[in-house]
Amino acid sequence: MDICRRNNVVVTGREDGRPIVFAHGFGCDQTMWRFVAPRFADTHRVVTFDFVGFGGADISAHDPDRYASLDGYTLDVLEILEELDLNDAIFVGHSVAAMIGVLAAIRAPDRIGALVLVGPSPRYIDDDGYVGGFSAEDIDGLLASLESNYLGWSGAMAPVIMGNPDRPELGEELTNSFCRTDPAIARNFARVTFLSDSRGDLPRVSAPTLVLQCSDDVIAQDAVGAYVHEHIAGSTLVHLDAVGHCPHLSSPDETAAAIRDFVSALPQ
Amino acid sequence: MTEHGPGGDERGLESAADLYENAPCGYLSTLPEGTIVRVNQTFLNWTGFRREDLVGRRRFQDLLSVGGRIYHETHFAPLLRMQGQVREIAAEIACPDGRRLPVLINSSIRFAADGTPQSVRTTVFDATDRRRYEQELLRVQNQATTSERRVRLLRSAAERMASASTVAEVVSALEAVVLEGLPAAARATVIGLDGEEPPDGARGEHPPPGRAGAIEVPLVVADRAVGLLTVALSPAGALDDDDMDLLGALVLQAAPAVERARLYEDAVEQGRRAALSARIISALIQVPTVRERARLLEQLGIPELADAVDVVLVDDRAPGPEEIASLARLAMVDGAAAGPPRRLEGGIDRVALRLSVGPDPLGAIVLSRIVPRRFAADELGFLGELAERAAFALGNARLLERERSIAHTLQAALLAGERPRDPRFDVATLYQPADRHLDVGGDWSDVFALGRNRVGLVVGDVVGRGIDAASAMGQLRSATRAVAGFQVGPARVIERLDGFVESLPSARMATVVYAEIDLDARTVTYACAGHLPPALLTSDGDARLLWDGRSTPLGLPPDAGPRSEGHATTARGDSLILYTDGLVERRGEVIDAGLDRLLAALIRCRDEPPPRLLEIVTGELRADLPDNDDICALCLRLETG
Repeated sequence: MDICRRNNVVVTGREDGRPIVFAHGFGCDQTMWRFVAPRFADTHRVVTFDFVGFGGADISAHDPDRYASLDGYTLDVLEILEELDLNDAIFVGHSVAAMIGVLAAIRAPDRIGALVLVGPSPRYIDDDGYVGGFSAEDIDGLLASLESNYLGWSGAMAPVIMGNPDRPELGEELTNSFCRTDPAIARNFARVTFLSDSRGDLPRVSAPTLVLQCSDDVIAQDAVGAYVHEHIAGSTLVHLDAVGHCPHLSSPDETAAAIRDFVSALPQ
Repeated sequence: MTEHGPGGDERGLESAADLYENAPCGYLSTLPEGTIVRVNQTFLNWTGFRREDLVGRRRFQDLLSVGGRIYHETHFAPLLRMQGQVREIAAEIACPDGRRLPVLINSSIRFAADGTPQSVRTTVFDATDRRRYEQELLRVQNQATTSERRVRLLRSAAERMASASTVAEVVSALEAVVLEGLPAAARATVIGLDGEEPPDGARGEHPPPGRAGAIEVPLVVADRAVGLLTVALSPAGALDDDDMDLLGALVLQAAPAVERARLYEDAVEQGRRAALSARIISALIQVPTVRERARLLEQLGIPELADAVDVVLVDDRAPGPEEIASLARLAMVDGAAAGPPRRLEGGIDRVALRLSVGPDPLGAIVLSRIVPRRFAADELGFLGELAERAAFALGNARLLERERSIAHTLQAALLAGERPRDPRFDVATLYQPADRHLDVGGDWSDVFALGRNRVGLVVGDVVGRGIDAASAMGQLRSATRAVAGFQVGPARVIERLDGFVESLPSARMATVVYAEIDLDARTVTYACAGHLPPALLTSDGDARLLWDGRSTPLGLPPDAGPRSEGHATTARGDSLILYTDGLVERRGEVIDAGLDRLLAALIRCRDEPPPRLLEIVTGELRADLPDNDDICALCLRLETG
């Protein structure tokens, strides 16, 4: 199987630079990184990709059994690293991809040399003595939201965007990202993401780790970022002024600068 | 505003402010990260929020339900940032009084001259009716999809099950259909049950309610569980009511299919058993003795009947290991009162079946299977019938053996007459019964003195076998001695025997060679009634057949004239050999070949004394014959001294 085609892997930047891999979280595809990733092209070999079932990835490769847990997505990452033969890469994961990065770094410590976790959460649903920020009913609400919006996406949304003659790339983008997302796959990924519990894996991370915590992030609240920081020995926690869950979109300057600071301080 | 009141002037033109505040949609302006800076009255009216609680205090996404907030963060905000605008996103506003207001949201970013986002303008439409309509559509669509999927699946299940002829095929069809029809199912397995009570009290059409992990659904036909379907769910999987209905319908279809396939398999199995039984019994009766039949039964029973088969006979001196012997004893005592004795120990399932004809036990057959292969209840009936038939074959062999033993005793008594002792000759006789026959044949030989100078020799063969033939042979032997008086001569002896067999039908068609030797003149006179010619082995190492004096078997005298006789002259040291056809006949070979072989053998052992000569020649000639016949032979040598 062609792994690069399967995951729509895009490689840019300096060929001899230290590899930096950007992984998108639940919701969208690799275009989420478009304001940040290019800034590392001068110094790094930059890799972006789509998880199977999203964006430009090969939807036919979606096997419900494989992707029934985060392990399947972790395998995607490991296979890409192997295919490109990347060593000592900096893995930047947003949202659920942050935890996927944690799992991958534990399994392939040689391949992943450093982790940047953007808005990570090891568990979204509250548990005894743990605040994840959500109840099980909240997650049902999200699934209902997803469901009711697919009518809009498939029927009404695409033509509207397509009708923007002055910014044709938007239509293209929408088609590539949302319209290609099979509702069942999106629903499945939502379940896997929001029902996951990776708390036990955090202490097993040995790579230098940066935790980027946004302000007022309803999805990964301050307490959750602090939890991740506490449970990964030697990790660095940086609070961003960026508000919401997507600092790479809302505050790309600040986000890129934080990543750059961390990367420059890494031992060579 | 003017005296015409809020909402417009006399020409019906509206003021911009009024249009904003009371527009037919909600208006909000927010900072790029969501903080509300302006909101119109319509929005406040719809939701019940107070302006002072929102402006500068709340972000727009905070007004959404939790699910909607996640959706906002993961889809709405990124898309808005990437596209500059988003339209017709469905969401719910969580109103202060606890209501959820379904809305459709459009947003667009106002960019500064340098391209950085400055603010976001959002319009909100009340979508209560539309949402209800959409939900109805969704529900109907889901139902339609579900019911179409169900119908398709049930039809394909029906087809697959109809074409499945074995339980295994029905089971694998059901497993495949379940996996196909239930996306949440990771694994489906069916085990066959044999009409047991449905487990966990679950009976009837409706499977138990779904639970995480796995569910079990019995396949029930008329209150009997014929199988149990276990569906293991994938980690994130769960079954809804539709899934459970579908599962119930599939199981309803599968249960009778399993039952039907089982009946079919039973019929096939019964045919197979009948064929097996016929094959074993017809092989058994090909071998003669009880012991051989018992050993053959042990061999033929593996592997179809069991992994090990032991036949223990009542008079067996070595009945095998203790557990087999004790099971066999139980079988012989208990009969079939409460089923055959059976033991399961050491990973071996053993059952012992009595072998008997009538009330007397012949023995028992002990069948052993290595677990997990075990004896099923319905198999014991078949094995019992097979044991009955095998016992019949063994019993027959025992009867035949008894008869043979009686006949052999009789024959031995008949053949054990005194042989004349005379220094002028040395005589030996040999009788060897056929290997394959249980019962005796009608071959005999005799030597007797006829006065001082003559000796009579006879070898004969009565047609048939068994006690009848043996007794006819005995009478014919006595008759020959009686009719071969002094000076009667071979031809007349045969003629008198013709008369004798008229009153003894079972001796008719017997063949006889009769010879008289004059010990002084050393001449031989002989007559062959349908019998093979005598052989003459001379002292100088030549051997020949005496072909004269031939006529028809006893009871069929020649149409014209008397029986004929032949003459031969001998010298000291010559030997005369009489024999029955068992010595020279071979199936598929002309008799001449056997006769040549006889002469060659005689020449080779011409120097042996008569008893040894007969042994060697007989041994050589029958050595490689599997289907040999009885042999009776006689050799008289004239002494050289």
